[in-house]
Amino acid sequence: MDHAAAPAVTLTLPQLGWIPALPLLAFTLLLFFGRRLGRFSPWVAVAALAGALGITLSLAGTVFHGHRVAVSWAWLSADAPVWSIGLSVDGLSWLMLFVVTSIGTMIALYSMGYMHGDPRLSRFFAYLSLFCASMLLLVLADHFLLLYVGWELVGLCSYLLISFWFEKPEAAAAGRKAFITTRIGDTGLLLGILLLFWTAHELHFSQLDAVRAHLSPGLLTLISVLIFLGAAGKSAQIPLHVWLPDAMEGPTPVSALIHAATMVAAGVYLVARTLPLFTPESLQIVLTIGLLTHLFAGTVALTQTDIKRILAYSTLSQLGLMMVALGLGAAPLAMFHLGTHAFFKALLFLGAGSVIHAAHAQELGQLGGLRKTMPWTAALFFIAAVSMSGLFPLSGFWSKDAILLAARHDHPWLLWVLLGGAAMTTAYIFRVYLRCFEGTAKDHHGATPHAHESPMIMVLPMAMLGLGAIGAGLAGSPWLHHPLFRLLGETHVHEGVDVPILAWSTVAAALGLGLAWVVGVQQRYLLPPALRPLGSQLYRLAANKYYVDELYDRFLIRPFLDLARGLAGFDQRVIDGAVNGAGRVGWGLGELKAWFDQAVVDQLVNGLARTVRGAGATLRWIQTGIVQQYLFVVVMAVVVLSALLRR
Amino acid sequence: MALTALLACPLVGMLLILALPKTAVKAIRSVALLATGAALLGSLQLLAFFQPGRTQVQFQEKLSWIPQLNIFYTVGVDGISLPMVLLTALLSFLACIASTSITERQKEYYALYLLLEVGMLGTFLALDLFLFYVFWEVVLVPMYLMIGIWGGGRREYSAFKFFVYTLAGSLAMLLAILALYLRTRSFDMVHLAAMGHTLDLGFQQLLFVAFFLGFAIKVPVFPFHTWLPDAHVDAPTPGSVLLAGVLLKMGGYGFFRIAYPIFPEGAQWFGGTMALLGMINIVYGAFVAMAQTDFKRLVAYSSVSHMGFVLLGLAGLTAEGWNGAMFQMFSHGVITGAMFLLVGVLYDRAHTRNLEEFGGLGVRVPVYAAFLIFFSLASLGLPGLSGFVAEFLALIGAYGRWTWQTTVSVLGVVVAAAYMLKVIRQVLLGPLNTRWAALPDMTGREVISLAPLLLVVLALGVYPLLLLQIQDTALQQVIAHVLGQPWQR
Repeated sequence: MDHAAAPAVTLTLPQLGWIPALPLLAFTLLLFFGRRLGRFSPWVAVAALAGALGITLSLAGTVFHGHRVAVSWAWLSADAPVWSIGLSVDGLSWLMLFVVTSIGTMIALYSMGYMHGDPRLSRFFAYLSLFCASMLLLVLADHFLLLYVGWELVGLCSYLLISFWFEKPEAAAAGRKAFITTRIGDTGLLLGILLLFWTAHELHFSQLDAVRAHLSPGLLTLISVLIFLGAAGKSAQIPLHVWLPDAMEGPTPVSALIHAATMVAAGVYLVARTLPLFTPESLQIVLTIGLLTHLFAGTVALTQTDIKRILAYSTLSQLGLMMVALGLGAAPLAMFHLGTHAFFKALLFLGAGSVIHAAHAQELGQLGGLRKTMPWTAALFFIAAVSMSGLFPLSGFWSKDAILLAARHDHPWLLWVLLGGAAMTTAYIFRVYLRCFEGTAKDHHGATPHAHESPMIMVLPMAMLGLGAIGAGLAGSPWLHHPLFRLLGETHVHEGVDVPILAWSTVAAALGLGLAWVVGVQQRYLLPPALRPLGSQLYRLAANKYYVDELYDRFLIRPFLDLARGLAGFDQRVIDGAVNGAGRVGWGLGELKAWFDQAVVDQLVNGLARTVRGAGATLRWIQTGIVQQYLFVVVMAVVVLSALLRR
Repeated sequence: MALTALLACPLVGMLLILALPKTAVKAIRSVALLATGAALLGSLQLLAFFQPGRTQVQFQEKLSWIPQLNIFYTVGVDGISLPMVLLTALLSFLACIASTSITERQKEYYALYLLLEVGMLGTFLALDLFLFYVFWEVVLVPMYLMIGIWGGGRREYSAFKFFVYTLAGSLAMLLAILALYLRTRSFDMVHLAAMGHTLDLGFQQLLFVAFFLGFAIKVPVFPFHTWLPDAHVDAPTPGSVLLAGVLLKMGGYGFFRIAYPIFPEGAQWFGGTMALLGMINIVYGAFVAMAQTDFKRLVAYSSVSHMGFVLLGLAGLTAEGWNGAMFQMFSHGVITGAMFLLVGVLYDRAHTRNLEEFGGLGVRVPVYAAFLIFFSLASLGLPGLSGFVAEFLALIGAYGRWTWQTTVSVLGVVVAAAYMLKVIRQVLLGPLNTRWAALPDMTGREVISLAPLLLVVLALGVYPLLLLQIQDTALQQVIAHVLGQPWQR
């Protein structure tokens, strides 16, 4: 693994704080004055994001020179250095900053058109701003704990935005599912942090190389696998992928920004950031999970009919590919693909949003022929699709081929598997393109379409992203001598275009295209009749997403709820029952004592009282109050006593 | 005299209320608000003059009370008690604002309410074990009556259960206090702590367990927790707020102030059990909360879960763990206090607490929704809010010594997300249940009673040093003492 020498200079720059603070400010403004701002509220969010983008760009020179910019402050302890947290920018985080702020600005602009007329418009932009603030915090953090803060906050924003139209029960459920599923992964990250703290007493990212030298490989493997669990939750890798397709219930710009370009890529970023902690064993796990997700999601994407869900599975698949790159130990390649993917996938989602906005439908069966009415959207969707298919010389080609190259170098067999994945990618994305934009137009009832091109405010940001989908890859291409890899500290890069890989990936794409045309559009059977039952069975399996949701429901969620109910019953009956039982025993003892008091003690007391009373009554007749009688008694007594004493 | 003056605020208020005629409800309320407000200002003044770096007890007052038995009226604050005093004063004031839901026998109510505040403040201020015990028991009576008279549901049962259960715990504690006195002839907590290591182990173990019983029932620790849901559900809203916000903390505070410093070896011997019980509290409480359908009961069980972090952090015996445990006491007091206020707001309008009967209120009552979402997120430990800091510190502090217990406890964090989001889902999201189509949003007074809590939760979450630097010195000193190491900064 090649890690470049430590950055030459670390500059302290308090202005760094403004990058997340600007969107945070926008959030606060929109939260409290959103209603008053009315339709101006989107501009607050856009301005804040553009400001953050401006600061990011102003840092470019410094970062491209290999310097690091940082600022830190005490947080959980006034004096323990391990608890002082801070923000820092190096090449890796600068790339993320650029992706988040540039795509964020574009998507915020697009949302102005998409969300136009929504009664909770300002709330939407408030959440969007909060998301960007959290995401930027996550990216800027130079401490595990601060990253975790941003990590959970983006999860929250994702929850809020997925359930943005919370009157829809599906949206409310999807938000909750996303939050809880990712939180399961986050416990892994949390445990990783705990373990790292107790073994290395260090949580700063800048010190990870030193940590690696100190810890045993076994411990490193354990820590890195725990961290990867968090990454897998956020980046929706198998087996924690189930939330992402459901997350499509959120507004489409949200799907583009959070669930395609940025937040879901945070897992990839985390692994890239903490790569020094990963051992060959844990990288093997990353590779396996990534590859499984890549293929699994690809097959599911081939069978879905909802365009947003197809794109969601496509995102899963591409994230899997990035994980594969990480598993090969090639963090810069993963980050490169992350960057290009952010552009073309955001564009694909915005295109899908444009279609949904215009046609009010998102089922493939209800769409078609939209190229005539929506030429811009069609062209841009096409560009993004070509880019994702990895066709020369668009962005996706450079990043995907770099991964293919690395795969061939490490495991030749992997190259062929990934080429298969690439063919699938082309097949499912062109299935969408061809069925949405080509063919005959139809609407819900098969009548004349009423679709129209989206307004300028939506098309313009899409066009900007289109430029990225075409040209962003050049930053990692040999034509420009790989400025991106130098930014990421990678010095050993392949010079020149590798022609065999280019040829093979073009063949794979062509194969996929053909498949999309023949099976996806013409709906012809390719399999020989003998294999058709098996084929349709496999198809059903993929179309039902391999029944993972059903399995989880049966074997995880229901037992979980049963356990909760069981424990509640146990609490009520056994523990509280014991308390009440003890209470009743005490009560019973009291009753017994009361009876004893009444039957025995009181009887004795009463008996005594009666004796006394009887004696009193007897004696009462003496006590007459007549002095003569008393004198008589006294005299008599004296007489009797003296008579007795005489003897 | 600052501390005696602080104690005098609610006491004088109570006497004034007793002197007022029963019908002068407005005057009674004003006096109560003034008295609790004055106590809040007094405690804030303490904060202003408190010197965080000093290891000694500050603002100390010592008067001979019963010289024959060596009993003193000793009060003072340090970094452990000051947060609790602040919490008590703050919640007492805000719950007093929220006491308008009490519509009968106001005179008795407010008099008892102020007596309750005297007891709570006194418990945290006392530095003499005898005095501590007196205040500890003073708290019991007004709370018993509050549940029994102004409560709902099975209030007599719940009040009685609360009273007898906690009294049983106090009894164990009283016996321990007497045994300790007979051995040392002292009730002075500072003095007792100083001679803690000289007590023989068997004696320490026995007395630690006795104190543990007293404190554990208050916290409450599994399996002594079942009085809590009943008491919470049937108590009036302000009662629930103080019960969860302050009374539970008295138990936790006892560990920091008495059980750990005076019986250091006993405490270390009991550490494994503490960690285990902390883990059970966290996970078990969370699971049982998940299954509840009554909003208030759910919050009550979430308290059981959250207080587990206090035990776990304590058992860790590290600076992080103790800071986390202490932070959790404060943070949980604020968050759960707010949650009960929010349950009260809803119940006052809907007259039901059954979560399944709500739905879609987010459209109808946006301000309420914002508050409920905020505090639910705080409760599930969202970073940026105070609960996260507390839980994180408690977990990381305990992890080294109690690895697997801590690992299991992390599960509670996931379940917490599940049940809090269930609340949000059932109350606020989904289609609006037409039954609540006319539900009014929060009033200005309700907002005022909740907004300060929101600010505290946010401020502590963003900049935890606000609280940490108050408590850190005192906590590190006690840990060093318990571990028998010379304390150094």
